[in-house]
Amino acid sequence: MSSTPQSPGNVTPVNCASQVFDELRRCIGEPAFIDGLRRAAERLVPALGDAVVLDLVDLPEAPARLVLLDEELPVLDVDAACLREQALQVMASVTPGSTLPGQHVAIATPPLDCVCIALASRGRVLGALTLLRRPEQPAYVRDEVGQIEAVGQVLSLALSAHECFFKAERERQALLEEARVKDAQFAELSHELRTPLNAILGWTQLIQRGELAAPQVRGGIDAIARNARTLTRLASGVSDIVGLSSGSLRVEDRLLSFRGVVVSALAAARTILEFRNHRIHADLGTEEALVLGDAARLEEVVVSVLVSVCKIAKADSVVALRLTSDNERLNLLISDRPLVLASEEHAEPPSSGERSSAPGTMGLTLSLARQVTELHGGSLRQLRRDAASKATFVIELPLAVASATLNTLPLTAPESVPAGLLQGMHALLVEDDPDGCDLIEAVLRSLGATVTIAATAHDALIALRDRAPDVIVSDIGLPDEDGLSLMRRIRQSKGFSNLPAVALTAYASQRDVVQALAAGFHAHLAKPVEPNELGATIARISGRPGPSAL
Amino acid sequence: MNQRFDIESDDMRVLIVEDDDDSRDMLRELVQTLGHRVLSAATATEALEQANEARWDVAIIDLGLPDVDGCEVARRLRKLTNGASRRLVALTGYSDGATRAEARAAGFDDFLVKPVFPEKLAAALVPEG
Repeated sequence: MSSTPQSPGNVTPVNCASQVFDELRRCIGEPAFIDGLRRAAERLVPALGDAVVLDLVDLPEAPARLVLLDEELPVLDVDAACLREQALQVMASVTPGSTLPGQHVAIATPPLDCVCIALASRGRVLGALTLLRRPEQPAYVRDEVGQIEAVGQVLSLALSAHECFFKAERERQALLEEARVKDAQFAELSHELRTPLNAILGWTQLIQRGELAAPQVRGGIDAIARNARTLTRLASGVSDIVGLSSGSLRVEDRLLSFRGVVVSALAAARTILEFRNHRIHADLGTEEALVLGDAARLEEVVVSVLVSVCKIAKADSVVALRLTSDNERLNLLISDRPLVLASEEHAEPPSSGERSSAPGTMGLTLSLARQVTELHGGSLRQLRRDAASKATFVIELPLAVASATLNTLPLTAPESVPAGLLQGMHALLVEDDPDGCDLIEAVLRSLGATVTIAATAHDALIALRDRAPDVIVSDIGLPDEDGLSLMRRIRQSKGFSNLPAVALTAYASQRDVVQALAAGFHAHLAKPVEPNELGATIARISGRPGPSAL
Repeated sequence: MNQRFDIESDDMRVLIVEDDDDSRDMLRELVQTLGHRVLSAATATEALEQANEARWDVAIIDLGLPDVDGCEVARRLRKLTNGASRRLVALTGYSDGATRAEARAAGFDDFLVKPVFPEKLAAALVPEG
């Protein structure tokens, strides 16, 4: 080290690395780390340069660049972009296992000598350290570059350690929060277990005394049975909570009628509804409200909400349900307010402008119901109670298909259809398989339709322009473009947004049906197609009198 | 275990405030078998009406009521002229220290955690000692 030149300020470069280490070791993992970095950089001036630039890559809660300049340094004139470019080049040369790469270059205007080294740990880039020396100072010698590299190693170590501490601290906080939430859930669980236990234990002991009259004993046993069922629901809720937190809760993904789910839930909750003499006013509409999801879990959600409303509502009162949907979402309102009485039929649902309660205040079963609803891409909210309603809940779920198409799902095939069912209709048949094509063409003609055939999506679009059909029957697997994309294009074309369309495919999973309907088909038929079913489906989606009406 | 949980006491009028129907019915039976008369309410509003209109000696109040928190019911009962010196018993599924402290501060004389055992309830109805 005897060749190391004595630098101004009487600080040897050898000391620089250890001083940088001293500045940083006390604040690793602390919010003060950035200030420590700044102080550490100050230690390098003027011993190892007249200006220090520290470029930082993704250091948590830190600026991307720290710059320290000796006063009056003309380096201010140095093109910042040029320095940045140099730092990026050095950083780009970092590879796993490489020692810290560096560059020693002379900048021409203004004439400055500059050393830039990468900061990295195990091949991961953390930043770059650039030191600049004013023109009148001697250029960097090899030994000094070595000292700068030593500083770089200390900086790299500190940056890497700080990042680890920071991440660990953040993870610790997240775990603490998770534990806090779980503690709260367990406290809530304990509380919710105690109410049914209270009834069970109390009634059991009263009956054991043998002093109750027969009707009271019967009432007591009924109460025990009801509360045991409540405990059972809580027990499955507990396993669901465990499943939710471990991510192992299985939610099926099937196309189902939410209307059907509500009907089943009403049947399942009948005991409690009858016990409290609640009258049900259910306006479930006529649409099936198709959703993708888990029927059993969604039924539990509706039952939980029904039970909550019943518990809050006065005995003998009305519990109202109203199922509505727009193009994208369904909305189930469950309330102790008689929403569906004729006079209020057109009233706005109370959701408009009313504040919802915080989900955390809902109790265990409802908070679980909310989480299950959210797993289905929906939401569960409780509306603020007012004079008219103490308990109004809204379940929202995304519909699997646009409501406009809900009523046009394929029905079961009729046994026979009249010969002239499609008389006068012009059908465009898009099918690339010659055999399949002949069969469908024959079916359509036998029902009285005229048929144009296209073997590709391209031909179909041309045929569509030549002569507008009354119906399009299309295969999904086409050679040039799939039938779904063809249908989306047709729907966007002027004049064809409502053209009746049937998809024919060999794939008949519920997801395929949903995709076809979402693309714009009115109906989906699986191959092999029953001739009667095809005829009846075309008649239905074209608004013709179907077989049942004839 | 055909145990007896009678505690010697004079005929008292006990106000039961509990929103859970099955628990309330059970408490009513239990208090009646202990030889007391029962007034019962499912909400805070009903409880305050009853307490204002009728004579009562002890109130057993569930802390988690649907309309107003049970502690608030206790505070309001204490403000009633006939409530200042009456005995108030809290009944709850929460057994933590914070809930106990809050109940004490609200004016409860005793604190019962669900599920409540008949002999404990019987003991809670009469002042200690």
